[in-house]
Amino acid sequence: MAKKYALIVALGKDRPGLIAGLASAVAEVGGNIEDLDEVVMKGVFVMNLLISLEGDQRSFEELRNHILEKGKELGLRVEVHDPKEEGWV
Amino acid sequence: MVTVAGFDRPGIVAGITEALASLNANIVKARASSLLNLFVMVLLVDLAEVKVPFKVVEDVLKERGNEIGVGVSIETEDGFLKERRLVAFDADGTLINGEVIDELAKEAGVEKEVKEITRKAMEGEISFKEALKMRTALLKGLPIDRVKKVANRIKVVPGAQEMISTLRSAGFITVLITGGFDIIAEEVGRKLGFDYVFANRLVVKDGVLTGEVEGGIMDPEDKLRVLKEVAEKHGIKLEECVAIGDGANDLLIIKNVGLGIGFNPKRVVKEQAKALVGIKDMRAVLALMGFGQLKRDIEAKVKQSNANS
Repeated sequence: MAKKYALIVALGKDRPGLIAGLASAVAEVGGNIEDLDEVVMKGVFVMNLLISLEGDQRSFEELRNHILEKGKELGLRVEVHDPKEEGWV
Repeated sequence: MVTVAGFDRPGIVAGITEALASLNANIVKARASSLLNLFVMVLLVDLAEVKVPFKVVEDVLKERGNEIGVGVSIETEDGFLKERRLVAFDADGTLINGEVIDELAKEAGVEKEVKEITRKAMEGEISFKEALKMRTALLKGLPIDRVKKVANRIKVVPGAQEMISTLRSAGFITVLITGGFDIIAEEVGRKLGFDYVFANRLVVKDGVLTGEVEGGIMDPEDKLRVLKEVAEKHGIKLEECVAIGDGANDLLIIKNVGLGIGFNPKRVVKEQAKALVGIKDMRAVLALMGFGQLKRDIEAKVKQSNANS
């Protein structure tokens, strides 16, 4: 099956457990974190994630919905992009 | 600073960061990347709001790393900013797959007898020194050519060559310290390019083993003593040394150096080492030591912000 990629950007007020929350949401839908970059700037949590996913468009949508849901729960602003669909790669 | 290295698979980031979150530890900087099949993550963690002692943090992370099968190292700021200059390796079970004595026993046709002694030693019926003497005695009469043959077929763990070459080109002193035998250890050490090799010396007479060991038998105290001697000779402090081992024999060294790494370790080592690697790949050890860009990046940022404040 083809590999799909998802780019996640998340930001919000920093506190313990944010990476854990998002990372477990990724793992729950079978995504694998290929790259991760997180930094706290003036108390603001900023994170980028590159996720790889074995599956089709449906599994991508499932990942996107699950991550957005989780981001809401955590009080974060989250974007989930398919870099190919966006025409970035 | 928490460094994680292991074969890439889903759930590593979640597992480690959940453990940190449960302790109320806050990750202020994180970088992770998978390269080929090796996943490396470096976390700079603020422990200000953590209510439990540092030792508990260490134990929780080591335990979690063990569960998900990745190597983990936990260093405090005064530790990870320290320059490391020397790396000491154990041989059997660490750098070398399996136990050389068993291979030699096979060659000498005394496999069963040697296994029996090993079993007794494991169960504490006889001491390590005693067991080594008895097993060596069983090798009496084995031609040196056949010992060399065994030396030639010894397999080092994956990533060992890459690790030694990388360390050497970075200016590290590399030391192999083993309770095994010199003929084998020197061959392995020469092939990989070690600076120093210390091992038990087999006595050879007329081309065959006499079944004796020359000089003292390398025990945990001796291992630490020779490491100290080499370090001193190069003007290196013990806290600037890294030690990698798996067994009770290595415990004293692992506890006394700046960064002691348990490599697929036995239980005693698991409890005492600052860093654990549960996979048979030396590249994971390299990553825990800060080779590869990720750890350097974060170290540089910490140094920079220290300089600014």
